Formats: sequence, structure tokens, C-alpha cells
Amino acid sequence: MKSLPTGIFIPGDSPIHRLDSSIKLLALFITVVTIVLVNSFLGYVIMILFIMMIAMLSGISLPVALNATNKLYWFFIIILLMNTFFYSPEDAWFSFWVFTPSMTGFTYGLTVVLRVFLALVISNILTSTTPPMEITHALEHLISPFSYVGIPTGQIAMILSIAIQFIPTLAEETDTIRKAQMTRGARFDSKKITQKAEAVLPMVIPIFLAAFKRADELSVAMEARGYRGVSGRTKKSSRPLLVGDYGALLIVLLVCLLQIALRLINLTRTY
Amino acid sequence: MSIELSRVSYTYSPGTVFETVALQEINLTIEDGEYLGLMGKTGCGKSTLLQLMVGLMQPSRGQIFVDGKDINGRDYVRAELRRKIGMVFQYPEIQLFETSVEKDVAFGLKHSGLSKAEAADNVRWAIEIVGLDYDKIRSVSPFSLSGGEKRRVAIAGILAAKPKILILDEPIAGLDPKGRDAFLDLTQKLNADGVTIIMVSHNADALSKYASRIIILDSGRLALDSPSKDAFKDLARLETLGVGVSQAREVAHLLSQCGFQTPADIIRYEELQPLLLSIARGGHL
Amino acid sequence: MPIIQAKNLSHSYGFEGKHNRSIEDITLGVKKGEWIAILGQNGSGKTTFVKHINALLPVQQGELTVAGYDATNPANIWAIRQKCGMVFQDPNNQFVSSVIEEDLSFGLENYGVPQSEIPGHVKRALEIVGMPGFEMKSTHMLSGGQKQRIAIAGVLAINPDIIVFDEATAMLDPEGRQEVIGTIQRLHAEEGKTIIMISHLVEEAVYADRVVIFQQGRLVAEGTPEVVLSDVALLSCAGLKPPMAVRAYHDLQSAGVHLPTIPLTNKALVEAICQLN
Repeated sequence: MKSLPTGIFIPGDSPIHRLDSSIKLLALFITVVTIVLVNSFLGYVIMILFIMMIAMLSGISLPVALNATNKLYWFFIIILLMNTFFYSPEDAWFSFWVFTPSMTGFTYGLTVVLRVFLALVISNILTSTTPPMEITHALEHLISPFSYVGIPTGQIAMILSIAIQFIPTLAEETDTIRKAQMTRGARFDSKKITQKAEAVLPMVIPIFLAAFKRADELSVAMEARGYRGVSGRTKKSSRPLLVGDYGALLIVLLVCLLQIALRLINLTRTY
Repeated sequence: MSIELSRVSYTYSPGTVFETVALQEINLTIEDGEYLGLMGKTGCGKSTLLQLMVGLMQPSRGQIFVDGKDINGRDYVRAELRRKIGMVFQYPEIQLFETSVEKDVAFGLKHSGLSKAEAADNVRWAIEIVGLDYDKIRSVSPFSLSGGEKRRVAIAGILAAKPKILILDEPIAGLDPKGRDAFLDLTQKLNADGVTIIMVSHNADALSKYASRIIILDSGRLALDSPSKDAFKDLARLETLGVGVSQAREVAHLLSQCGFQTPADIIRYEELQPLLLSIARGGHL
Repeated sequence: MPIIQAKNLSHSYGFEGKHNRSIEDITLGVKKGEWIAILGQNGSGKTTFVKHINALLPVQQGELTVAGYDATNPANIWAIRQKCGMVFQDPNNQFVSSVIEEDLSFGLENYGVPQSEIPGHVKRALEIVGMPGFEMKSTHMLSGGQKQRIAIAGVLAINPDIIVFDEATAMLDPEGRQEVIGTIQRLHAEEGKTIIMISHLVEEAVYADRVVIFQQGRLVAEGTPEVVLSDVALLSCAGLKPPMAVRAYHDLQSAGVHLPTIPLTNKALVEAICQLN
């Protein structure tokens, strides 16, 4: 009956699994920035091929890699329609009431959708190939320079990582609360906006209370297991970086530079 | 108020790699005024079945009729179903959100079409029937109550609509023995007043005592459907179904292993006690 | 010397009212390797008491020593928590990582155990709870009973002498409950751990060496399961029900049939009756 929640770590021994987690996290940041930089057809083709290559190397099946975007199709369609109809009144095919459908809007909508889609897939690959606490350590490592100005980077990394762990549990709980209130007569399926608004409180308050309760219990459990902030914890000495780690970072940087070059060439054209 | 399921199947995430069949070809009729116990291993499809009955999900195949009407039919009015069936989820206290007990219990009556006076009557009745003092507790915040009281307020919030069918998913989990008994007695009282009770529980003692009919699901299929008296006869089979038996049934079984003749339909202590006595007095070998 | 010694321990949450879950004047000694079951209604102060043993609550009034450390001295908090682990009710609220190995390492890392020694402790903890080889599995894929066993392993990894179970079976199905009780039995018998187990199921207290009953913040009774669980008046006063076997024993007695011993389990009841004949 149980299926893996989206983005959960899937053990494996692929080249992507074996990469150093800090390098992986850094590579993810660079890749996401690169995705935003892309503005040409060729650029998107390169990006899609690049991410497909990573997915194949990671040994994660395509359905699982795409799982992150499964429930977002409606969101994508809405973005696409909004952009098509509202983005560019100047070169609209025609104008009707507030709608100004245009090719420019459509292609812009498509690029937004594609960017979100690619960013989600690549992030999903990262979380599927890296255990949560390693992501925590990697994040802690990457943001550690901020600790010199007094920011508790260790705690921040821990909080972020635990918050991510709780998403599946809270999602399940939200579903239960929604169903419980619906059987009591709350109207979520109603078309009237006023009734929809009315239904928000019976959802939001229980969800917050449930989340607070879980957070409270977890913090007590963590304390009972000896957590007292980062000081005194075992320092995780990560293995020394290997040629492969540098190689992977280099490839990502090259892709990024390539996209910058393409963007410079394409400065005047936008798709 | 009958519920009828006709060849109901349900599949989660059909057409994807996560496809799971939760229910398969369930045929079931639940008559007015029954007290039905629903058992089975965790993950056997019990919760799915309940959610289909209250219309929270639609079957992949098959039909569900409440009072002869297909609840997933085109012209069926959902509000009618909500009025007829109340559902108590596991740990229902999670649904509390209002500033006072009275308001929270009244929440479900907002769209019921009842007059103010009628609604107020229902709220008072519901709070009192779950064993709370209406005048004392009505304006108290539900969050200041103890765990057991919160549960009662949450259940009052479902009873206030006076449903004719009450569906309960593990309602006694986490309650202490006193709270358990009080709650089970309440379901019995409602049942005596004509409310159909459908209760999911792992607690064989509770179901043996209160339910008149037992249904067991196994991997999405109906594995057993019989009067509770006969439901617990075949211990070997129940073991494979992951269902426990009441303590009285267990003792009767152990006695039969010792060579005593014991009827296989003993499921309550009241039935076991005379048997114990006659065996202990040595007249029963 | 007892491993836990509470003397006139009192705690109040600082607000008046009937749900003020405080404890009053608790005195209790626990021997090393003993299994104590604490029974009582919801709100009787059981949890408040055991949170002191793990130094999750500071001692307000009275004395408490745990594993040789004085709990009234705040400097001992971490030493006490290392000697005394705690398993809670909701398994989902105890994991810091969805990967089992990482979660089990958490406690060890908190106490600065060198990285090279961690996998060995993790492996051993998983073996004790009967789940060897689960290191890389996800907590999201486990049953309730398995989750709770992983939570126990997380506590075991730091090798405490005392393990406190705060209604650790309350949210489980019968199968999961059996798994957890079986694990506790093993911890007690094979690992020699001192067990403090809160429950409101009388059936679970049968396995303990000693049963303690809490009522409205006070310790109202203590003794062997045979003595405490057969005292129907005492149990009902504390909002509890005796095991069915005890009920049968008393019913038989009032009908003039005397069993040689008071049975606590159904098995013992049937054995006693069989011996009569």
C-alpha cells in the first residue's frame, strides 16, 4: 500500500550516488542558475539532454525522476495559459475583453514551465541520490562562511533538513484533516468563493496545531537523544575529494559557461 | 438507511508505477440499525472502504448505493450524504479549531438548513450524550481540555448533525480503559436508538462485545462476513488474516486444547463464565 | 544501590486547574535490571514522572538520582540522558532522518562518538531490535511496529542502562504492539537493561517485575504484578480494569472454586483450571 514519497533517498551505487555531497549540492545550485540563464532553443535542448544524462547516470528510473512534477500539471497549464493570454498585449493576435493572446506569451509561458520542470527534476535527482543528513552536512559546509558573522549555520542546516523530512507526514495529515472537515460539512468542493474562504480556517488551524505538536514532540525526542546544538557533535570528516568530484564540478561549470556563451550570442533573440 | 456496495473496486494511482489495488470486487449490504465490526491487517483496505462509503473517494469500478441511490450518480446531491452519514476519523481531536466547544460542535450544522433553535438543541444534545456537562463546557476553548475530553468534543461535532449512519475508524485508540468503555457504551446507546454503526477496530474484545456482525478484509478482498458469534470460530484462518480474537474466545480455545469440550461460539466473558465454573467444578470432562 | 532513586519528588506546571498534570511526593527506587510498569489513567502524572528520569524536566522539589548522578544538579543533564534513553508514543515524531542509518547515528554524533565507531554501534543496535541490514532503508516504508523498533534502536545505539517507554505501543496495531513488547522483553532478559514502561494496558504490565500505579499525581500502589493486578478495588479506583483472568479468578472464588494461585494471563488461568481436574 505504501509508495515512496517524492524526493526520498533511494540507496544505490551509481556515479551520482558516489559523488561528494557538497559538490553535488554546489552543482545543483549552478545547474539551477544555468537553467534560468537559458534563452535559446539550442540551450534548452542542451539542458534537457544534460539532465537526462544525469538521470541515466544516477540509475533512478524515469517515472521516479519525474515524480516531483506529477501533481503539478495543472499548475503548468495555468502558467502557460496565463502567459499566453496576458503576457504581451503589444503583439497580440487579437484582443477580447482583458485577453490578449500572443505567440510571445505562449513561448514565454513555455520557457517558465520548462525551467520549473527542469529545476524540479534535477533537485529530485539530488535528494533521491543523497541521504538527508548528508545534504544537511553539505549545506552546513557550504554556508559555513556565514558562521563567522554569528549565524548558527549548523542549526539552520539541521532545521531545513528536518523540515523537509516532515513534508510527507504533514501532507498525509493535511489530507486527513481536509477529509474530516468535509464529512462534517465543510465545503471545499463548493464553487462559491465565499464558502471556499469560509472553509480555510477549519483547515489551517488544525494543520498548524498538528505541525506545532509534531515539532514540539520531535524537539523533546531530540533533546532526549542528547542533542544540544552543534557543539560537541561528531565532526563528520568527509572523504577527500576525488578526481571524479572535480570532474563533475568541471562538467557542470562547462555547461554553465556554454549557456552563458549561447546567451551572449542570442542576446537579441528570445524564444 | 441501508448501504449497498456492488462489485466495488478501487485502485490507487492507476496507470503509474505506483499502481496499487486497494479493494477488489466488494459486494456488501449493510442494513438499517446494524452494528458492524470491520477488521483486518493494517493496509488491507479498511480505510479505503470507509472513505468510499462516505463519498470522499469514488470507486474505480462498481457502485455504492445509500438508501437505494447511487452516491456517485450524476444527479446525486452530496449534501444529502453528508447529512446521513457521520464519520469519525482516527484521532478525531485533530479536527478541532473553534474558539469554544459550542462553536466547534455547531460547525457541521452551518449548512444543514436547521433553524437556530434546532441547531442549538442538537449541539446541547450532542455535548451531553458524549458525557460532558453542557453548561460548564460550552464556552470553554476546546484546546484547554484533556485528551479524552477533546476526543469527546470532536465526536459531539459529528453527532450534532444526528447522522443515521455513524462510521468510526479506530475510535478507541489511545483512550484509557475508562474512556474506552464510556465511548463503546455510547455507540451501543446510539445503536439502540436506531443509528447504524460501522466500526473499524483491531480490538476483538470490543467488537465481540458490541458488534452483531463482523467483516474481515484481506488484501482488498472480502475474506469473511458473518454474525459475530460465528466470526471467530476458525482461529487458524483468523491468524492468517491477521485478526486477533477476544480473550474469552482465547480461553475457550485453550480449554479445548486441554481436552475440554467448549463451544466455538463463545466470544464474551458472560458466555465464558458459566462454562469456566462448570469445568472447574469438574463436571465437564 | 538502586539505579533510580526518587525521594519525595514533586512537580507542578505552575497553573491551577484540574488538568494540571503535576506529581506529588513520589518516592520510588528501581534496581538495576528491573522492569517497572507504570499504570494509570491519562493525566495521572506518569509522563511527568518519567520525564524527570531522563532529565527532560528539572527537579523542582525532592531528590532524584539516576545511574549515580544527582538529577538536581543541572551539570549532570547530559550524563543522565546518555545513561537513560526514552522512546515516545508517536514513532513519526522521533526521526531526524528518513534514512535509518543516519537516524541511528544521531544520538552517537550528539555525544561525539568518533565517526569510525558509529557504523559498529548502529549495526549492533539493529541486530538487537531484530532488524539487521536495515541501514539504508527509508523510515517511510516501515510498518508502525518497525518504526517503533527503529526508535528503540536509536536509543540503544548510545548504549544506555535505562530505557523509558512512554506509551510506546499506544498507536500501534496488535501486531506492532507484539513486536515492541517482544523487543522490550529481549532488552530486559538478554541485554540486562532497566526498563520503565508506561502503559494503560494492564495486559502489558503482566510481563514486568514490578507494577506501580499512579492516580492524580500520586503513587498509590506498587508491588509485583500478582499482587497489584489482582487487586480489583485498587485498579478500578485508578480507572483501570484487571486482566480477564483475574476477573475469572474472583468469580470462581465467589462461586466456591479456589484456584491455587491468582492467574494473570489466560494461559495461566486455563492451566490452573486444568490442574484442578
